[in-house]
Amino acid sequence: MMKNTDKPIVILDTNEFVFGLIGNQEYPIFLIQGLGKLSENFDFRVSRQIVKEILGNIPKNYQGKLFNFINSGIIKYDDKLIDKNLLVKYKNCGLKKGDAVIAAFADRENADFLISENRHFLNELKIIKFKILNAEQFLKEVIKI
Amino acid sequence: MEFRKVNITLPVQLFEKSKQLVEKGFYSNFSDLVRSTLRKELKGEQQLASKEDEWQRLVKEIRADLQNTELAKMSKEQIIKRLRKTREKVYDEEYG
Repeated sequence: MMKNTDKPIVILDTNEFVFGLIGNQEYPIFLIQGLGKLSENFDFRVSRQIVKEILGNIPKNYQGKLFNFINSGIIKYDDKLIDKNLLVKYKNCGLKKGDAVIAAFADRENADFLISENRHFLNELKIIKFKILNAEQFLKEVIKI
Repeated sequence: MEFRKVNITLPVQLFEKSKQLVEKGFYSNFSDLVRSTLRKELKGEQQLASKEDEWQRLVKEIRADLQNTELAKMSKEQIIKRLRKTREKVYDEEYG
């Protein structure tokens, strides 16, 4: 599939939002706060699975506000389910079922980067079409802060 | 309105192409073209700055909202463990 953007595509994993919006982890906070500026040069995307995971972990009365925040235009939200064949491809690589959805989404989007604080979950991945970094690595190695 | 005269140096090709826009009537003269382009550029910068400000404001607001939630009291490891559970649960709902 051809890319429809000339910016590098970056998938943000659920934990970046949770640590960036709730926790006290310096780099995820810096990353989430900086998305407005960084979106000039990067195409940030999240999947249906990621959004459901984020919303599933916060109180109901904040879910609408958080959904509107994610959907406010800085990040692209893709609501489509993942094709089963693509999912099987990543499950066959040894990924747990939920992780396979994230990897398959990054593959489908032709992502350049997947940013996650739990990146070792994909270490066993043999087919790597995208680079897996945590927020600190992304900010230091790619953004070069 | 006060004006200031400036000298600018341009690559020949850029100048020739810009001149064509003036000749085609898109701008009344070369100065008009430069003024209009600069105004558009400045407007774009302002829009971008307000978009960034709005994003920062939202992040701040949501962080404040979520400070008293259960997750805010958990350690990094506990949060990761909880997110793993949610990941499997969402998978089962969507694909199971």
